[in-house]
Amino acid sequence: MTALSIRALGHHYGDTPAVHEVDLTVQPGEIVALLGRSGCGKTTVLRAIAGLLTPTRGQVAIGGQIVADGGRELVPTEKRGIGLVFQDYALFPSLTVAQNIAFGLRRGDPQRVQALLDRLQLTELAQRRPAQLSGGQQQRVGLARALAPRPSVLLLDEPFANLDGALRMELGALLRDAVAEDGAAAVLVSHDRADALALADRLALMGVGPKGGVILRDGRPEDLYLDPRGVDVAQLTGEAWFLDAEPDDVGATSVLGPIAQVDGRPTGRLCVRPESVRFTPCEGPARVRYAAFQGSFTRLVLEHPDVEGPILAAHGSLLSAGSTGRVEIARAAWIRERIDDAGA
Amino acid sequence: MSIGVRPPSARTVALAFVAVGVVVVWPALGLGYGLFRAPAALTSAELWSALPLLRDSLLLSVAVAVSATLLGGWLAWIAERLRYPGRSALALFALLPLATPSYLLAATFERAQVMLLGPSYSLRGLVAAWLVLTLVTAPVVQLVVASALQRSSANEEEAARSLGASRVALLRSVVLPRVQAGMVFGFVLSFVYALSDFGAVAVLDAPVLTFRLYQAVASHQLGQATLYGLLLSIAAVPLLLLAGRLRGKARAGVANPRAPARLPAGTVEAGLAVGTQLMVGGLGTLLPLVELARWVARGLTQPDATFASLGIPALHTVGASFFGAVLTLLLALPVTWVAARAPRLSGIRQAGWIASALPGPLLAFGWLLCALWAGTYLGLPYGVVMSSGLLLLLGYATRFLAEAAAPLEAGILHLDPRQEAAARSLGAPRSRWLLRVVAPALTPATGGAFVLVFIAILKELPVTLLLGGPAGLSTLAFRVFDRYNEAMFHDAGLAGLILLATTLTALLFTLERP
Repeated sequence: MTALSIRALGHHYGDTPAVHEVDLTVQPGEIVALLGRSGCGKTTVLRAIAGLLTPTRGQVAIGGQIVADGGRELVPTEKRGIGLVFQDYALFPSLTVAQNIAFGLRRGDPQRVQALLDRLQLTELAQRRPAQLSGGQQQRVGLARALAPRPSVLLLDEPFANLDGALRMELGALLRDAVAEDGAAAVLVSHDRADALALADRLALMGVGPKGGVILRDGRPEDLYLDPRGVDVAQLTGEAWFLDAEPDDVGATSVLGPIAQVDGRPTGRLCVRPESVRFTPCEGPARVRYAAFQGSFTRLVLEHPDVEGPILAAHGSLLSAGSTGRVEIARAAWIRERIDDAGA
Repeated sequence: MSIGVRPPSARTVALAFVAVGVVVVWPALGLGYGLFRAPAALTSAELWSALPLLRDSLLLSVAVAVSATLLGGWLAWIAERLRYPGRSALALFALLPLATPSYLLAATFERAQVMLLGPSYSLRGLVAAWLVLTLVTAPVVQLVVASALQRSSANEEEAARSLGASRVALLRSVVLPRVQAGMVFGFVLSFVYALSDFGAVAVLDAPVLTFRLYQAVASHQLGQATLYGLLLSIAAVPLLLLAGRLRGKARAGVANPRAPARLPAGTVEAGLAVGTQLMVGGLGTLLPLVELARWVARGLTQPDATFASLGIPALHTVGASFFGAVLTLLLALPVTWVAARAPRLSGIRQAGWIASALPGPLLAFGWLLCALWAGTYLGLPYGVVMSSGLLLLLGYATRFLAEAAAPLEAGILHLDPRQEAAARSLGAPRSRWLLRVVAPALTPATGGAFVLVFIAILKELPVTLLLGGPAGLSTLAFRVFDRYNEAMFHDAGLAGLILLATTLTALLFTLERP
């Protein structure tokens, strides 16, 4: 059974439209990330699922039960069987770690509490209060607390935004394991594409249409990354630049030469990812305008007399501004200005 | 995720309206009943005879507001922006008169004058009341303006200084516009304080409305009392409404801004600063302490002077303060919760604030009339109602509702709505969230509110006199007032010393908290 189903969800705050005709389904054990820029309505969707607002239109169903429909709340937050994880943890400061985890459990269920303490590596911290914990530890408690009542849907609001890189990786792994073990469906809201790409089984990319936030595309992260179809999807899923080209028998031909691997249906314009650009230092027409050493690679901004706008590239060795060379493209995807134009 | 606060439940809203109904509507109904019952008191002759009282009340209030705003504004400026030796301790010292009840300061001021100048040359009446009330209200203005100064960012002042602005130009062009709202609020607050004061004007026999209202009620001249009450309401209510509007503006500014570097004070400036702070703290707190101690010492050395036991007054004080504070908090909690969480219903906060800020004698008179009305029309036994002490506790609740509401509201606004959303999503019953999350989080605010109200009741005089007297209550404040009027200064001194020591301790505790 589908864990979460949203049909034609719409909401407006007074006269201001927030989201429009949002459809989304999430299966048990699946992590779906809602990814979009600020103000695109992803938080509104999350709040509508949680029951913290009643959407003005559409339907929300959790575990097959309709919880909101046509502007009416049918099931309140406390009876929806959801778990909420917040960016700033929202732990109960007066309770210990163990008490926080037990908060939503009948008679505390010490076995469940202990299991979660073990699973999220919190056993040593069970008797501490939130103020005595680091950010990463607090977020682990927040996750354990949300998982404790075995929710059918876990809602995560920018859960890693306050954590550094290593902690993000560690918590991401814990989250994946926990969701897999409990079979909960997880909806993750993020504006950080790295989090979303790394964690989610599926991405729901949101943008802003004339009537409010809409889902631009919904699919596996790698599919959306490699074949974005629209400029907005390309930019949401990673760095990209765009180039006019003609389809040919092999792939495509552009002012930078032939491109062997091209995804999607021909449109006349290509989306190119920096890692697909090969820059060979030599007496070529391209020139490095800006080079930023990133450790394992160097990020390049190139200019080329035949290409309008900057070319973004990633290069394996250290280069400096002013270097010249030749540019080749290994892979690209056909793209349109707007996702609607692509008929997606 | 931005989570809005959850609106209060219908039950909580109903409770809040009941609470406001109890503390605001009933005394207001009482006053309305008095007006209805005593039309004879509103003859033009009596009205004309009462007008000088209104004039003097307004004159006194304006004079106090002007002097307190200037003095308090200066105290705030030197405490927040100047650098000189001993500044921090002296700033605290100048705030100590906040702990001194106006009747204690007035009494000690009067007796000290008599001792130093003799009875013929000592100041009484309006001028003496102006001096005493200025000393009591200047620290209030200091707090308000200092808070405005603390919220104004260093950047503007430093930019002006880097552009070569003189100290006067800096003050005029940058600082004053920033603290203007605070100064106006401080002016209105000290105006309302002076208009409502009963203790100082009663001790110094200043012919103003609050004192005459008390005298009329005490001598059962209800018609005259109603007239004075009406005039007092006409003068006070618009100001209270204005103060309510200004309060929000006075709070505007940057939250936790970086404070600008203090300007080094020159010799004259430092001398003026130290002199003002010593004068305010010395006259407002040291003088009463020394004078009260002198009264006690004289009592100890006079063989015929015996000290009356303080057991009953102490017991009554603690009992009245405790139960009064508990009732006030119980009524303030739903009102504050609703006001903080339902902005559309914040009018109930305003209603409570106005009722609390009404002059004490007027408020007590409203409750007395309400009891009389209930006796006449509902058949409630007036004598039993009066002697049970219930009316007194209700009077305290009306008077100190706003005092309890301020820290409670701050506590409620600090509750994280995400925690509530998390608790709800976990399926926990609301009672568990209230008991295990909200109650511990609100404990400091509730404790702070309880202490504030407890101390306020400890010092309170007009409501205690008018509503506690029939219940046989004799608090320490009552003892001071009563024994002073009987010229039994040693008894008044001992009760006053205990009172002042308690309020000073509470004030220092409050000021030390961040």
